[in-house]
Amino acid sequence: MNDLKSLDQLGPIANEMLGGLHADKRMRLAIRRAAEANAAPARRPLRRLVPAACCAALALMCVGVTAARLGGNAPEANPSVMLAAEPAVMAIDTIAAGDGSDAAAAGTLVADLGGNAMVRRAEADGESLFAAGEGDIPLVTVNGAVYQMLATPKDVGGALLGGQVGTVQHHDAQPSLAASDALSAGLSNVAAEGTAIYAISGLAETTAVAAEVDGSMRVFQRVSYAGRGPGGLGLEDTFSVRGQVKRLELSGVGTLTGDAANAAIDVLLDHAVLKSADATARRQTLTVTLDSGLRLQLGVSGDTLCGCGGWSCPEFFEAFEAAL
Amino acid sequence: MKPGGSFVYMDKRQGVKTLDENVSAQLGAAQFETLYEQYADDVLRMAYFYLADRHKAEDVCQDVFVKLYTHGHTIEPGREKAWLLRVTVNCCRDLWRGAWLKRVVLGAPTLELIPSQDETIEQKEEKAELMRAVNKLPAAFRETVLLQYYQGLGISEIAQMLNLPEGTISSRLSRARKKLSVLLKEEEQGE
Repeated sequence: MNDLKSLDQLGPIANEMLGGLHADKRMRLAIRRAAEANAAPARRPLRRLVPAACCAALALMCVGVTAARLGGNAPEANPSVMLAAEPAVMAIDTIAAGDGSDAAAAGTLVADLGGNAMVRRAEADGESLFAAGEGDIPLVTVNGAVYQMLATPKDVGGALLGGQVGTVQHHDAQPSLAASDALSAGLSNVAAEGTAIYAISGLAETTAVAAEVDGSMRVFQRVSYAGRGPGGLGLEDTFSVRGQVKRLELSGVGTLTGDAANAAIDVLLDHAVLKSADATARRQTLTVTLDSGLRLQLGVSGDTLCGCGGWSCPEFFEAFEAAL
Repeated sequence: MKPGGSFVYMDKRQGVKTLDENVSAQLGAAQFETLYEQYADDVLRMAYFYLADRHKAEDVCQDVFVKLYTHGHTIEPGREKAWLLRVTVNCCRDLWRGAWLKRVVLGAPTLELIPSQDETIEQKEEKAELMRAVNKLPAAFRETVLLQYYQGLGISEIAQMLNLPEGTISSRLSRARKKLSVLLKEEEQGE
């Protein structure tokens, strides 16, 4: 007769009944091999960096010329100083924020680069994956790059966490957008000071990171914000999803899955050309569900996809339509 | 950022490194070997007890220790076992959820016992019944029971590990015991 008293002996019982199950040397060898394979990051093809760097330089030149025309006496030495001296309010349109329940509160951030920010209403046709903030977007920064919190998952599993890539050095509920020092360090308006920022398995830390917010490990996706764009990075650097796409949904158009989804993403990552360092307003969304279950999102406006920077890629839309 | 602040940034794009080069930046090889010797069987058996599938349990064990190899340096000293079990449970959960359709179509796998050959097993059938009954618990109950009764963790540790309030863990354990009692009766009647 078995009763629940034996439950207290589950440890010794299980070890007795599973005593023939061992993690042997063969498994240890397999682990070392797998670890070795994981430890070697893929080399980044130079052919994608060169056009990206050229586009970034061109974009910087255009911004500089525009600022000089409007400002007249703007300092020339530092482009960021030129922008700060420009009195006109510059609108930086974020991805419409929040999940379905937050859709009504989704907003477009309007910021002057002197340091003020406010939110204006915006409508979004595609469901946004991004969490909404009351003012500023909920963000963390790592080494000057800005990441916006996603509405889902509410708590990313420990199995998906990678190594620590940063620490929140400064918490400020209303961070100044002009405080470049704060943005360069670990800044957050949602994660507490001292919070560790982690990479996410399978994704470059320039694509997404995770940090604990109110006791839950939340995912943050790289975005353009407060004049912080992709810098010299290519689209794949800030959206490293190649080969791990399970589902690709273009709102209002359709959905691709499996190999078709991965093929379409390959086209995007191979052909996208930087159009603007800042993301632009968009109603459509491209939602990417990864094999790990995580979902990332790009905004869509015309033939441009917006995440960290606006990337023109008509080839992607042609490939997507052809695959439907 | 304060001047001289302790900002930590690990650039993965510093080029291809061999495993031995990476070990210093990740987990020491000797430390890995020690942890493997100490906990690999625990991880494997925990995964097998959860999934009732030896191949999947071996996959989980491999994944867990690969993660340990690459990210283990971030673990707080003294929390290695808790970290390993947390990752194990998360891996098992993912596999369990992912295989729901297969379970629905083919039925849930039965836990095959794998006793050590040189051990004399007393009251084997009663112990087997308990093992099978635990394995039949719903996943949320099963992982809580395994962590407390098999791995010997306290309620607060389990709550921390699963990111749940302690009250939820206590409630799950209570409901799991009731369910287990029913399952044990069914096991007996099935003899």
